[in-house]
Amino acid sequence: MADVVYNNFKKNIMNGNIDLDTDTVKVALVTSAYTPNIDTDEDFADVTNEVSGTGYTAGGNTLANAAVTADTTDDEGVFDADDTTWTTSTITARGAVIYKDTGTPGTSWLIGYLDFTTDQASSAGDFTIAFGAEGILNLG
Amino acid sequence: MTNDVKIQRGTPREKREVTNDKEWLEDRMERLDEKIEVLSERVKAAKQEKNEREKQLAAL
Repeated sequence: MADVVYNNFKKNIMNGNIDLDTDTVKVALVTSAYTPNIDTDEDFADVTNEVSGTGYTAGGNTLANAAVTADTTDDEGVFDADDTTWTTSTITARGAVIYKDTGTPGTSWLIGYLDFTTDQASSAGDFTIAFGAEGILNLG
Repeated sequence: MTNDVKIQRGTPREKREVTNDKEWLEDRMERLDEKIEVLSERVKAAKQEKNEREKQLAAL
């Protein structure tokens, strides 16, 4: 498995269902039992095996300071936000699902899946996803 | 015993400048005003088209 962008995200961004820098965008952690299906997974109701544990609230964290910019060097649109941390947590996760949260799983459109490759675990500590210099998502 | 974990995605970036300072918030407010205006226009156009389509449908 690798990082993926759901096909339905591409559709939803084209028809205006998603506005990345004004919508509430969340990141939820999932276990190795969840395998994203880029063709059929569309909303958060399709996501299974979300992690549970101390310091983790179902649905995950809201991404703060989301911004959308144009990268004229790489000819891309860039979506970025602050790094996110689950503090004083005891959780084990294999990946993260980024999605637009509407409060209703059936209309909370999926955006992408970040693959951690191996299980990542915190124990009464910080579980942090640090996004890279290229941002969270690039559309070229 | 505690354990922190940090998943670094790609090349580490410099600290992001977008913090909740006054300048960022003012810029954000301005952009949201622009979006509200654009979305209002889209709603107006969609309602107008719906009215026209209803008339077309009724005429069939």
